[in-house]
Amino acid sequence: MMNNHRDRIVTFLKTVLRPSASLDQLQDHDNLVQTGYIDSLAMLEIVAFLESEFAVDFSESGVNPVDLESVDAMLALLARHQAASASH
Amino acid sequence: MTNPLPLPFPAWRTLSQWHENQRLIDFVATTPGQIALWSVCLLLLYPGEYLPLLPLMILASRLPGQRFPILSLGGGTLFLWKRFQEMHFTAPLWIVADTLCIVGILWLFFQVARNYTALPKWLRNSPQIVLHALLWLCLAAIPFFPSGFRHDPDSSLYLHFSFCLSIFSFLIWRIGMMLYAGKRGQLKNARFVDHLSYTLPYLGSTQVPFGKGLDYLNSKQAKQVLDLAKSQLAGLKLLLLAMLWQVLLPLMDRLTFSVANHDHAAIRSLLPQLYHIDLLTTLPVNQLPPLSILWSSLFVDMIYETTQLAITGHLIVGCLRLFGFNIFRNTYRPLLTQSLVDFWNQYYYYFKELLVDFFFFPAYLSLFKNNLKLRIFTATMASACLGNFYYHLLQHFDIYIARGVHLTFEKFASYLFYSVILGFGIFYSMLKTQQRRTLPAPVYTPRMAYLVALRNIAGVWLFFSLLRIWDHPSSHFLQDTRFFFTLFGISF
Repeated sequence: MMNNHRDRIVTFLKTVLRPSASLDQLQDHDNLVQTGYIDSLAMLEIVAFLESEFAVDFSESGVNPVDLESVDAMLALLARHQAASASH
Repeated sequence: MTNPLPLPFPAWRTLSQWHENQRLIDFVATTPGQIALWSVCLLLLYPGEYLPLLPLMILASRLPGQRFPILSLGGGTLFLWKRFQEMHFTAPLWIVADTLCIVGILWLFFQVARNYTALPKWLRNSPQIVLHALLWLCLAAIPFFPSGFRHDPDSSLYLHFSFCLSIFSFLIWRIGMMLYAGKRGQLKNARFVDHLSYTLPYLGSTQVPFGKGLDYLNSKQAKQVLDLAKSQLAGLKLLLLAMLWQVLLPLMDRLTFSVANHDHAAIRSLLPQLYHIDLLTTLPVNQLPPLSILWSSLFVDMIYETTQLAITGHLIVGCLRLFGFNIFRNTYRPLLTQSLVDFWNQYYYYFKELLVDFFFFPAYLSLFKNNLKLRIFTATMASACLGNFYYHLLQHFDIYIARGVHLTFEKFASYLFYSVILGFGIFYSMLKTQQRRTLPAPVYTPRMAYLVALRNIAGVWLFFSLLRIWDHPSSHFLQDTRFFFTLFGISF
């Protein structure tokens, strides 16, 4: 399940990369903004992507940029979101 | 963050990134390395206002598990001490009472945040609005106090009430961060003392929370010895940069602004003399210098002001890095950015983050979800325009306490205009960036790539140096607007 999520996230990230960046060397724990893969505008598109693709409702908890800073952080966010949905 | 311009010399990168040298990191992790590091820090911080933090930094490096309590108790005590000194408070009883009042306010909000799920729905839905409404209600209550309360500066009760209220307004964004942590469910097992690390900040004299909240600081905290050494070296680099700018800034002041400063007649004859914007906008049209001097002043004054901001940010972030929080720089080469949105991102990072957290994302998450462009536009205007203006309105809260709120067109029109134009500029830049990302990257020769980069940088300089006309200490809308037209040879 998480592998599938990871692939979908990485596929999406390819569409919002800085023109000069490539995901070839990306590690899942790499900070995407700090290492220059994406700009802050892309963060907004990631929020819209997580809302539409995984039905994450940020209006409940707000957006914590720490949750979007790496692929690992996004996967952890999705895991928390799924756990919360399952418990309701 | 990446380098905005491609660096032509790899050797320069190695030199400028000396703090990432693994051998140096290994050395700093040893005891002799630590002694050398703190000795250099002592020289750099002496005799500045952050010197008292040095023993705390050393203690935090010896007891990394206690980093938050050390910063909270040590930094918090210094914060309050500094405030009491500024107010000339000496009576021990009042100092204890004020401390209890301020810590008590923070503790109350900590309890609110910790029990977030148990709060009534209306409060859970809009905690930040309720927080700010509470602050303004405190202000609105002042006229109902006993007659003469506001107009009796000798009254101890008035003095200490207004002091605590102004500290509450100063800390409001940090309290907001704590409420966000509660909303995310991060406070269930939290210790109050840890949250004092950012809610009682010795580092930084503005309302902007450098290092944001506990969650962000925690995520950037050094976990291993080598991480700590890396963070400390990154902090040392910022202190060195701050010192360099501190040396260069007065030099720049003497060389370029000496007429304005009335000094150094000898140097005056060698270089064209420039003026700060706040002086230029107040001069009558017939006393203004030639257009070339006006335009040069505009650009050089922007560099001057950016350098001033960089010094402040480098000192604060440098110290936090020395504590072991390897957080982003506040100012990172904004004058080399190639788009307005990048400049805004790299000029005053923690102010931009404040606007993003408290205005951008709340608007982005609740309005126009089905139209991305409209969504981004609304959120950008909510942050860069509305939030930016409100933040600056709140900065004068101590004056409102003393004299009441008198919103006048002359006082705020300039900054309102500045905020609106900034919002539109950033939105336009965001759209352009988004469009550029969808197109194949243009192929340029190295020379052409540099020319394009320089053209983009010039555009950013032009926009922000013109915009600064409406954002300076002596701002007055009509006067500033008249000066703007003078730059294009139109005078009225």
